[in-house]
This record gives sequence, structure tokens and C-alpha cells, in this order.
Amino acid sequence: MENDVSLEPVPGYTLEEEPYYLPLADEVELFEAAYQQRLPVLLKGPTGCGKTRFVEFMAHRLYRKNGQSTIRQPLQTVACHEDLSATDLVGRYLLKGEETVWQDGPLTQAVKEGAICYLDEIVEARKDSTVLIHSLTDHRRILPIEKLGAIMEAHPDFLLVISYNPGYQNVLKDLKPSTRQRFVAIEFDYPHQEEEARIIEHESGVDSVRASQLALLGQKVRNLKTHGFDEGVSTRLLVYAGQLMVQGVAERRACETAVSMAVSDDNDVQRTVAELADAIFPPS
Amino acid sequence: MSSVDDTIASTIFQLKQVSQDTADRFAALAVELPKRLSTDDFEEYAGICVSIAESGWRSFVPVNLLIDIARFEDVDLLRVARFGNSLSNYSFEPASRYLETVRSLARSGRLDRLPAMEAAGNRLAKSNPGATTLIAQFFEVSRLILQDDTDQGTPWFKLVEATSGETRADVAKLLQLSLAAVDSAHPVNWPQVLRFQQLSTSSALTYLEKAPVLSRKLEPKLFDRLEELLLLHVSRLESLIDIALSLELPATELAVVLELGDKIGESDVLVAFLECASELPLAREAVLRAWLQHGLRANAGNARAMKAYVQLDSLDSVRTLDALKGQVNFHDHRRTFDLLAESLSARPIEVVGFEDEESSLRSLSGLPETNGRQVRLPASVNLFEDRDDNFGFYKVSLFHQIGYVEFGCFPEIGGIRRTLQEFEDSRLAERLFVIVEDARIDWQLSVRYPGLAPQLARQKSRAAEQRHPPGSELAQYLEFMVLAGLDALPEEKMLPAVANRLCSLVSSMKTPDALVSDSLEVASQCYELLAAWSGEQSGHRHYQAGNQLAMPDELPPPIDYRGELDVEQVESVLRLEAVLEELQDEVTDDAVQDGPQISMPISEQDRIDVGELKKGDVDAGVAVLMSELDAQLLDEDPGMLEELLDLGNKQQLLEFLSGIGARSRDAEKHRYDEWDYEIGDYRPAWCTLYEYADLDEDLGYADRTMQEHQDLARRIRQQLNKVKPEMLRKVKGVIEGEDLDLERSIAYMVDRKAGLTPEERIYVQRQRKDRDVSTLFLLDMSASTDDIIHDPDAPAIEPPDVDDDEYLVQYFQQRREYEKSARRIIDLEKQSALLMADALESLGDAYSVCGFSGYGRDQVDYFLCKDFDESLNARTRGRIGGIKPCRSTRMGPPIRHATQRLVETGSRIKALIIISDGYPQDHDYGTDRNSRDYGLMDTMKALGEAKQQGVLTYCLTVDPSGHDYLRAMCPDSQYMVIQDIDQLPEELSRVYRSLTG
Repeated sequence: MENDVSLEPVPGYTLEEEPYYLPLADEVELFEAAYQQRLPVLLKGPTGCGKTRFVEFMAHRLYRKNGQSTIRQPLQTVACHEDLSATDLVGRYLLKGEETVWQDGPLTQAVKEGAICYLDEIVEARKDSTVLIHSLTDHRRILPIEKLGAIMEAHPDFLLVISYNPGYQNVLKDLKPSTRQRFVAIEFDYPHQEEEARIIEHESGVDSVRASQLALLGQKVRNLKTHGFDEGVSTRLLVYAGQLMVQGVAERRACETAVSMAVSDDNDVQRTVAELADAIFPPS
Repeated sequence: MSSVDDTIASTIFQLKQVSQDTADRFAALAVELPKRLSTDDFEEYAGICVSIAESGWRSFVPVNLLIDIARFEDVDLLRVARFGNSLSNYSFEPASRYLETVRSLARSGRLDRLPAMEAAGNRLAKSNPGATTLIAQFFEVSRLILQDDTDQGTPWFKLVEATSGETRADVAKLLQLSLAAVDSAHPVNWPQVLRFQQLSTSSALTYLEKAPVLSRKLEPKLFDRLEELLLLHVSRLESLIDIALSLELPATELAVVLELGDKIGESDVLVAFLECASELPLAREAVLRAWLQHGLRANAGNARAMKAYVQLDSLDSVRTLDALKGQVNFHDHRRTFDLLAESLSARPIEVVGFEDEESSLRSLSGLPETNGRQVRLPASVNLFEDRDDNFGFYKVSLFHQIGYVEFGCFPEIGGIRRTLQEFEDSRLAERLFVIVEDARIDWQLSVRYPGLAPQLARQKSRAAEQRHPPGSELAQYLEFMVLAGLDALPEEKMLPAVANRLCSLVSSMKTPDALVSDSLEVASQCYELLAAWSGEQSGHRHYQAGNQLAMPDELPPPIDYRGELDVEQVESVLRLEAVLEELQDEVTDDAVQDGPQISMPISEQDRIDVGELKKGDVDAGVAVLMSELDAQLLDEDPGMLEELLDLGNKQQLLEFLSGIGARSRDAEKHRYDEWDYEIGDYRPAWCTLYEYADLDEDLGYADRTMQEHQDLARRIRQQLNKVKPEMLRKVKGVIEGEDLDLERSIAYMVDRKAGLTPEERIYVQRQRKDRDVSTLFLLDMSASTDDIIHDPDAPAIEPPDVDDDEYLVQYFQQRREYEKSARRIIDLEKQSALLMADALESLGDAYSVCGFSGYGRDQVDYFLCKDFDESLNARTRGRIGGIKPCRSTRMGPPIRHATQRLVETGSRIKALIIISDGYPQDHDYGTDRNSRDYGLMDTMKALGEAKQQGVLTYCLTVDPSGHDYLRAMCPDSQYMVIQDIDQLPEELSRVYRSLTG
């Protein structure tokens, strides 16, 4: 069927420029190796530790760096949620006037064009959508489109990447072995203090002293994992705090806004984080 | 011969009968006197002399005096003679004393005092006829008082006059005290005594008795102020003076107390205030003034409440004072400290406060300390005026304690201890190390935490200000090192050379990359330096390490925010922890390898009871254990360790070791406020509740109950099975339901349009799926639950009519048998709890079974039979079976404790079911033992607090008169009086269903 309502790719998604990513271990090489063999990849790690950024970085490296590919959108990212159904991934009929027209979903688009499809937080999605990817992740590399009564073979460049956060998802939402054992897993964690400081410095533009202070704060707050909040403060939040500082917000206030309030609703935890920030940053 | 001569002759003759000497004296006087007096007057005078002389035993004494007095020309002789004569009617003594006084006044030319004295004497004589000694004493004292060259005689006479109407004992006491006062070096302010007398005689007497001592103790200004205060509160004068005498306060603080006391109207309240004054932060007058004003305003018209307020026995009082003086309490920030400790150290370190009773309003209750697993901080800090600074003290203390972990000291503690032990004087070496390490940690802290640095500097400089130079030279060197660590060294040139070198060694740690190994190195260098110095001191050119170096007796005192580090203790605790972890890992690994038969987890309650190790403190126990392990297992018999480390023994060892760790949990201590309805406020931390987890077990009882009541158990289980899950959950994509799922509905319509078969599951339904319930059964274990429940159907055992010994013996035997087999209230409580527990196990709800009793507010016992997360196993059932009647029923604290436990579960539905047999009572539950109101009001308040915290409460009582007080305590729907006691198990399950269903 003719696809005449496809959306224009957002410039950021075309990945013309290389996203910043600081490799922490051998994840780049691993991912490249997996890609060469078209092995589906599972990225494990806590929120905000750089999984999405890593995929973007890899997509750029694999598709754009040396002008390897002319594909419009080398990376299709889908943030999964509990109401995300197979239809949302594959595509659906839309009403247009008195007619119905077919709209490809992001997965179908990637399969068709040979992009990387990145399903973020896959366990959040409904079960029917997880099962859908099974046939794409083994030797068959096909996508059945039930509503069209068709089966689509994947483009040779197509790769499926999913992310999964074992930390806070409850037992009910654990990834089923039948799904999980179709992926090679690359594990992520928050960077070490020095590396995180570099990342914060780069991403937020804050000076190196404050960047390492933010990294120290991050490290200390992460020691509190068991208390009231599911994960430690993410690198992303620390970057936000740095960005607020660059905008002239006082250090302690920036940490309060971007870190204390953001990590937890528990007053005592917020207070503790604020006390930590007070200890780390000199009074302005 | 004139009539005058006749008179002289006859008088001399008559006096001669009494005393030749007196007659001679009169003869001598008679030469002169008639010239001064008219004939009539002289004759009267002579007559009086004779009259007095004839009045009785030793009557010549007053006559002699009267003759003496006649020599003074300015004396109104006849008036004196007449007065003396009237006194001589009693006995010679009053007259003599009077006349002596007159003579003394005449000599000193102050005869104008005479009328006042006579008036008072007259009045005294009239009010106390026949009290000769008293009257005599009066004149005696008058003389002494008038001797002093002041005109205070007048007020004293007025005082006597005013007192003369009182009992003879009072007058006697007044005279006695006056005499003592005259004798003492301090002059008495008689007008002041008179002011007291005008209010009450007894207060005047008390004042007179105690004022001299008080005036010696107090500065005159303060004494005057206190007198003014006392005049306002004469009813409690004695107590007030006694307290004032016992107060050991500097003058400035006492002035504050008196000024504040001025504002208090009620005498009882003032007494209470003065009694507690030394506990108040008297250096902060403005704070106290505001505190008192608040109290007076809030408790106007309720003296009892105000009394509790000034005694700091009301919550309002404590809070107001805390808030006013910026006090920071550990309790209020406990969780923040816990979290901070964990975030800083990346390991669970418990932060605890020193016990409440050790806390003081005037100083720190204890120095911070850590043993590697636990940090202890003072219960409250009010060293600074400002709240933030007080909190800063806590923060700096905590960061410093955790700094031992964060900056690498504790992870290396084993090696450190070994190194330190190699020194000849290892205690000195340890002390040096701790001084250097403390300094290093603070410097590291200020580098890593620039935000903390200002506060740290503040604490350092305060600590430095408070230090005093110690006595011995060696101690002084250590003190210099401490000061160097506080950045508070005196100028370099002022220091001795050794101190200079020591300090520069300490200061060398002031680099951001100084490690704990550097501290050890510096400590060792310091040791060498001191050893060399010590060698020089004793004249040896070549010192031998440690030979002459001895630990000084007096060590530099610890710095309050750092506390004292005990290397040995930390090392043992951490080593034990490591052993435990290792064993835990090994046991788990082995269990996994060997299959399911040994993979049973060792639950808390299955642990071996380490009987003899239960006493003594944990740390000592740990130290003993470590040395035992070292000595016995490793050195003497290496084979034994291997034997122990076989799987079975390994488990035992683990249990044994964990048991020691768990020991401190045997009787957890909690403090709770109590509501005093009379003062309309909480009495803070009024009751101490001990939670015991090691109850005597009676498993047989539990088994018997289940056997005997199989039928009932089944019925209860059936009833509880009817309980429905109460949590609603939205289920999407069902065929029928209350709402349409919009997204699915659209897809449905689109599919229809596209000619596809639409998915029909487009509805949303709310389904009850979960239960989230925690229930706590609180059983009354008071002595009265030992009462027998009489079975109305059982044949009555009557005493026999016949007076036959054999029958009587039989009767008592029967009776004993009956009592032995009869059911008691406590049995019913236990059986109900057991049956409920059994039924709840199958329902899967979380529940806890506890009992309470106690005696007095300092000993409320709370027995934990089954905790929420425990399973119903042999131990827990045994503990429920082992519940025994104990003592009183103080209900407030157990209800508060149970509420807290329930809140901690975080369940959506929290239910507290209390089973008791009577109204709350305890020996000090309220001031009036016979009044039930205090206990009822407190219990009511505790139930109200539970409700506020989302805990549903229900009171079940087997007391037939329960309606009377339960109606007052809780709404109708929240209590039940069980008429037929056998219904308790079934009623209980009904209540449970209604509360949680």
C-alpha cells in the first residue's frame, strides 16, 4: 500500500553530526562486532547512564562517519510504555476522510530501510509487542504485519537494539528468557567519577572544578540506592545541574532543583541530597 | 526623826532579812536618793524595794539592780520600780532581766527605748501569764538587741508584740532565734522580719532561722531580690529557701533565675521552677524569658500544667525551649544522618544517638564515636545560639566519623593496629596516630567538601578556644600536635624545638593526597622524636626506643566534634564483620552445592541461644569472641577450625556469631510521650518501653490449643476465607467493563472501516486483586488476666457443711484441681491469638502478635511473640503459648509502639486489635491512684494518634463493665465487650474481617 503520510525526519534524528560519547570500556568495539554479524543487542543499565546516547553515537559511527549510508534516518528510537502495542510498532490504518490509509510504524520503517531500531525500556511495553520482535531477532529476520496480511523481510542493514533496566523493574515486568536470550548484552553503569566529570564538563559547559564536584555528588547520592528511590542520580541529571550553573543559578540551588528534587519524593532523602550538595559546594 | 529616816531604817531592816548586802547597798543609796525624790516618791521606791525583796527566792538580785539603777539620775525611777515590781510577782528572773536591761540602757544613755520595750513586755506578759522564763528571756534578748548601736530595737519590739498573741512555742522560738541572730556576726534586718510576720508568724520564724545562712551564701543584691520574692510566696517559704540554699549557680545565673521567678505568680510553680532551674540554659536569659512567657500565656489558670511546664515535663515546654535556643535534637534528624552516613561511606552504617537520659540541656551528652559499624552522636546539641551552627556540629561530627571510612582509615585498620602494636608503648603510638589521623581527615574533608569547610573551621576554632594546657611536658607536646591539627598553633618562635618539629610533621599531612599510611608514618616519626627527647631528658646520649618514654598520665582531652577513636575496638568489630560475611558466603555456597536438603535458610529465630554471652555489652562480647577465635581455633588447635568449618559447624559458627550481633536486640528500649489531661499536654519521653523478643516458649500449649479447638479453628478459617481482596486495579482490554478504553475503541472503529475484524476487548474494568493488610494483635498481660473464667454449667464446688477435717481436705483438693484445670482470661487471649494466627497464615495477610504489661512508667514491657515478617513456626507459636500474666496495664505506650510498628510496615490497611480485661491502670498512671481518668485519657489519646497515622483500632474487652470506659475511649463501632467469653475467638475473626475486609 502507498505510504503517503510518512513524517519528515527531525534533523536531530538524521545524525549528521557526531553525538558526544565517552567510551568507558570496550562497548564500542563490542557493538561494532555485533553489528557486523547483525546480532541483536541488549543494553543493560540504569537510567540516564548514556544508553541512548551510545546508540546514537554508534548509529552515527556505523552509518554516517565515512558516508557509508544515505539512509534518511539511521536510528529509529521508540520509548516503550505500558500501553505500547504491536500496532504502535508495526503500523496501523488511519482514517483519512471516509478512507483508511496505512501508516508504517517505526519498527516497520527501520526494517524496510535498514536502520537501527532502538526500543528503549522494552519491558515496559505490552507483551504482544515483545513477542513481535522474536522473528526479527533470529535467523529469519522477518516482520509479520498482521493487519496487512503480509510478511516483510528485513533490510540487510537492519539491527534491533533494546534497552533494559534491571534495577527497578519489578518481577512481573522482568524480561522473559525467550526474549532475552535473543540478544547479546552489553552492560552499562554510571561512569567513574573522573570520567563522569569529563562528561558533565563537556555536556553542560560547566568548568572542570564544578564538574568534578557534581560527579562527586553523583557518586555519593548513588550510595543511597536502597532508600526510597530506585536508582541513583543519573549522569543526565548531573549534566542538567551543570547547565543550570552555566546559566548562573547558584550551585546549591541548581543541585536542589536538578538533583535533590528529581531523585526522590522522600523528604529525608531530598534533605540528605541537599546536605550533600551543601557540603560539596562552597556557599555562594 | 523624819518619816524619810523611818522609811530608810525600816527598809534597811526589812532588806536585811533578805540580804545583808542588799541592805548595805540601800543604806548607801539612802544617803543621796532622798535629795532627788520627793518624800512620797522615795517612800514608794523603798516600799517597792521591800516588796520585791520579799517576793521570793533570790529576790535580792532585782533589788540590787533597782538600787543600782537609782544612781542614774535620768531614769524615771518610780516607773521602772513599778514595772519591775509588777514583774517580780512571777519570779525574780523577769524582774532581774528587765532591770538589767534598764541599767544597761541607762548606762548607754538610751533610755528612750524603754517605753517600747515595756509595752512589748507588758503585752507578752499579758498574753502569756505565768510564762516567767519567756518574759525573762524577752528582756534578756531586748538587752542584747539594744546593745547594738542601731535603732533596730523598735521593729523587734513590734515583732514581739505582734507575735505575743501566737502560741507560746512560737514566741519561745522567736526569742530563741532572736538570741541566735544577735549572737551571729550578721546583723538581722528586723524590719524585714516584721514584714514577714505581718504575713505569717511561721514565715517570719523560718526567715529568721534561715536568712543568716542564706545571706552568707548570696551576694547582698541577690539576697535582697530573693527576699522580695520570698515575701510574695510566704506559703512555700521554707521550700523556697531550702532550694535557694541548695542551688549551686554562679551569681549571674542566679540573678536570671530570680528575675524569671519574679514573673511566676503561683508559689507551687515557683518552687518547681527553682528546683529545676539548674537544668535550664541560664546563660541565655532572653531565651528563657521568652520560654517562660510562652508558658505563662499558654497555661494561664492551670497551675498543674504550668508546674509541668517549668519542670520541662510537658512537650510544649521542651519544644518551645528547644526551638528558642536553637537546639538540634538527634532524634529529629535521625534518618537524614543515617542516609548521609550511607551515602558518604557507601555501606550501611547505623547512626544512633546517645540515650535520652544522658542528654542535658546545658552541655553535650556524649562525644561522637564510631566502632566501624555504628556511629554514635550526642542526643542533642545546643552549643551555639544558632540552630544552623548546632546542626553544623552534627554534620561536621558525622562527616568526620564517616571520614575514617571514606579516607581509608578503617579499610586499613588491621594493618594499622598491627603496626601500632610493634611500638614499645603502643598506647602512646596509638594516641599519636589518632591525633595525626584526625587532623588528616579534617583537612581531607575541607578539600573534598568545600561547602563543609567553613563550618569545619568554625568547629575547629571553637574546639581550639576551649583547650587548656596540660601539666606534664609530654602531654604538652601532644597538645601542641592537637592544636596543629586544629590549625590553631601559637606562633612558631614561642614553641620549643621538639614541639616545632612535631607540629610541622602534623602539618605535613595538610596536602590533598595525604593517605592513611602517611599518617602512620608521621605518627611513627613523632614517636621517634619524642623517644629521642625523652632519652635526652633522662641523660642518655643514645636512647633505646621507648625505653624512657612513658604514656603521660594526663592526656589531651578529646575534641568534642571528633570524639575518641578506639583503634582496637574498631578493628575487632570490622574483623568480626568480615568473618561473618565470609562465613555467610561459604554457607550459602555450600548449601547451593549440596542441594535442597540443607538449603533451608537460617531464620532469625532458629539461631542458637548464646546464653552466657547475653550479658555485657556487645563490643566487649565481640572482643572476647575475637580473642577466643584467635586463640582457641587458630593457634592452639588448628584442626578445630577446619572441623568447625565443615558445613554443619560452619552454620553453627555463623549462627553463633550472628547471635552475638543480634544480642543487642533482646530488649530494645523506646521512649514515648504520655498525655496528661490535667496539664493538657504531653509529658515528653515519659515512659520507657522495653521490647522483648526472647519470651519463654511453651510449644506444648500451642499444640494442645490447636488440637482441642480443631473445630473452631476450621470455622475461623472458613470465615476469614470470605475476606475479599480490597485493592482495586484497573484492568484494560476486557470484554466487558465499566469504561471504554479510548485507544482500543478507536482501533476498533478503524479496523471496522478498513474491513478488518476488530478486536473486541475494548473495555476497562476495576478489579479487586490484592490485599495489603497488616494487623497487630496486642494482648493484655496484666495480672488480672490470671482470673478464672467460671463455667456456669460446671458443678459448683461448695465447702462442706460438716466441720470435718477429712471433708475439708477433700474440698481444698477439689478446689485446687478445679483451679488448675480452669480456663483463665489469659488462656482465652492466647487461644484466640493462636487460632487467628493459624487462620491468617492461610489467608496470607501480614500480622504480628504482641503482649504488654509492666510496672510504672519506667518499665513498660512489650513482648514480641510474632513479628510481621516472621512465619508461624515452632518458635513463634511457642512464644504465643508462653504468654503469662505479669503486672499492670499501662496501655498508652504499647499502643503507641504498636502503631509505630504498623506504620513501619507501609501497608495500605493497618489494623490494631487490642484484647484486654479491664481499664488501663498502673501505679503511677496519673497522680491519683484511684482515678481512672488519667489512664483513660492517655489511652484515648494514643488511640487517636493511631487513627491519625492511618491505623484502624479495635478494642475487645472481656470486662463486663467495659462499656463504661470504652464508650468514653472510642466510638461505638470500635469496641466490643464480649459477654460470653467463649465467643472471643469467633468475635475476633469477625472484627478482623470488618476491619480489613
